Amino acid sequence: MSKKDSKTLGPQKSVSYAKWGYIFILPFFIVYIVFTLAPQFLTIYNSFFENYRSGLKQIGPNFVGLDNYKALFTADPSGTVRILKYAANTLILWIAGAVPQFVIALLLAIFFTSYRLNIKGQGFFKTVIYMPNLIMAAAFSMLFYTLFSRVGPIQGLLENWGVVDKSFDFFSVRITVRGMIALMNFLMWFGNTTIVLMAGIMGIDQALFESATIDGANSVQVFFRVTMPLLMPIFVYCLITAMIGGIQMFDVPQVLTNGKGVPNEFTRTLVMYLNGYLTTKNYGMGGAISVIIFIITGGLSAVVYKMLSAQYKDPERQHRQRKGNVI
Amino acid sequence: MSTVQLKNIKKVYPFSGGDTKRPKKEKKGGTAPEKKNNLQITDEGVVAVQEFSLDIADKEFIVLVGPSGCGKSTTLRMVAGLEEISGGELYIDGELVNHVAPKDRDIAMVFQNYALYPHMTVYKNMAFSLSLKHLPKDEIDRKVREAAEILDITEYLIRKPKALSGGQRQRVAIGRAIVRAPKVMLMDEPLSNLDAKLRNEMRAEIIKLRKRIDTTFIYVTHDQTEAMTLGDRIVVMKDGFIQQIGTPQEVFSHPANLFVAGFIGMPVMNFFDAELTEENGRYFVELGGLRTELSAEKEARLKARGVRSQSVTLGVRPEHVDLADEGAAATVDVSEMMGSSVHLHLTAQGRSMIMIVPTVSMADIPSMGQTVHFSFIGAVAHVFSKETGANLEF
Repeated sequence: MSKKDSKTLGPQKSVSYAKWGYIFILPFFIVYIVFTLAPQFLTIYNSFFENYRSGLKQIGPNFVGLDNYKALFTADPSGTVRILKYAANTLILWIAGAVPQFVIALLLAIFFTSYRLNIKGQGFFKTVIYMPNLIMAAAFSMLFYTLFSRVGPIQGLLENWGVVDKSFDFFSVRITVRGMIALMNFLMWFGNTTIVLMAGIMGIDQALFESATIDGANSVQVFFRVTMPLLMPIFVYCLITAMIGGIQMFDVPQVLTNGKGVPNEFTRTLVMYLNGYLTTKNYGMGGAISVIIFIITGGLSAVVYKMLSAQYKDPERQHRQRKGNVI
Repeated sequence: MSTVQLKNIKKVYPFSGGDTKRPKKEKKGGTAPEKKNNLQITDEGVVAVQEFSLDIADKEFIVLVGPSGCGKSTTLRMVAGLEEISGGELYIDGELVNHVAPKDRDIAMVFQNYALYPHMTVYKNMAFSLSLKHLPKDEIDRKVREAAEILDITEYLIRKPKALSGGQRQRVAIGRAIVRAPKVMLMDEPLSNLDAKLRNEMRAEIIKLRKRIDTTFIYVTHDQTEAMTLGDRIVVMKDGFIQQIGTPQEVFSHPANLFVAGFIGMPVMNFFDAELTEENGRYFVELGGLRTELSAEKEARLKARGVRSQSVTLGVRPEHVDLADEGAAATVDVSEMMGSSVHLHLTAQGRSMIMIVPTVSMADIPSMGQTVHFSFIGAVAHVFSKETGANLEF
């Protein structure tokens, strides 16, 4: 239509739908900025200040630069750098729960999605394996505490069988307490991971598995050479979210050990350490620990993402980058 | 040598969950098979293929053709080992392979959606089966490059499938199959995802390819043009049953029944209600005042089978009907100018029909509503039983 024609039709009223889109997403951004983004910046800001309560007296806020960070990495009289010890505890507890969580979830996901096995009653099994995830972590911890306490049924059973004597206490041995925490995290999360991985596998074209079978691949080869590479984006997502959750592990060990991280603080996690500072309203040290947790989480996530996603780079782009023979 | 023998093959999908309702049992005498969307439902389950027997010779190109749901892909998947065989025997090179895993059958398959591994380059896709056999790297490289050369995809070897067009992906899928030099090459509607032009090109490519790679082919399609142009023999299927096995010419010229006659040939065969009369060993078909004697060859076959005078369904292909001064009358509904010919859509004896008239033999194109007359010679008339739909000649 020429300019002249459009003029003869009179002025055209344009409707901007874009502004409505912005209006609809505005509440989310307001809530996000006020309750998430601003506190994050405040946390970083606070980490550079001395700001705590000593009895009834408020100390600070006084700007101290990186002193809070230095204090965190200073060894105590016993020569222990506490934050490193708690970081190691957190990592060990997470790995001990996450490894079986991912192995079992992968096996179950493959089992339930196998077109050859065609498992019946999938809905029932999926519900059952997901159920532990619905239980509150604190309630789950209380259950385990009751089960494994010195007067609990497990202790009684093992004593009757002669496996342990009366002096044995599950909560005084490092490996059993860590084992309980890992077991609880595994039980709570393997169902969730299974469901997500199943969804990932079901999203892969069935013909690819059939094609690999005809090409001569056995079940293990199909898994490692077809299923896993194609499942990797979902797997990486599960791994990173599990890792973020793992580094923020708090409620299970807190309730199970009554916040003490028994025995000898070997089950005390980073967030339990942070919680200790927050009870004294030490926003400076609390902020510094939060920043360190954030850096660890971000760093590990980036490493995992880089490592597992490297193989998906466009080979032609890599070829151009290297300017060499790619095959 | 790579022969394939299918002996009385049957495929039944057992009932599971809420997939299909079991047929209600009759009070006496068990269950009568029920039919639903082309599928036969029995007590055992849904029957997809039955009584399928076929001997495929070494290096033969067999095409399974039929409408959707006729069981052709299921049959192919049973040969591949992707579907369990419910009954019957399958032999490859004389060896019973009913329970042999797909990887041990020495077959290759090209899938309808190509089934290329999206995380691998074209090169790795093609080398995948060879690397599983632990062949030396230089041998894998040689075989992949040879296949890529044949299919003209060498320049795409470092690309991933997502960076290829549909036609290029199809070539890669074929390349992945041919690098293995399999005993039997299976193709499941490999051209159906391509546009018409590309499909024609790829069809020609497959004909050339077949000459270069000396192996047995089993090709599934619902496109009768592909079946006619590619197959040494074609197997026409419907509702899980074989309707006819024969060379393309045999199936076209001597359809076994109404279904085959209607399925093979484009435009489809015209069918009329007609009378077949037998007079002293001579056979005539009578259609709306047109009386045509069948050819001597047809008469001999009908005589040999002792066919008597009866009402029949008469089939004549559109290209075999001629405009005539006298003959059966028909009214023109639509005329389609196709360039070298005109397709006349007519109504005759209460039925719709099509007539293909070469443009050169036509002075004027009949106008809509005009009455024309048509005739045909006895050699091109097919007579089918009114009751069974079977061709009375066979």
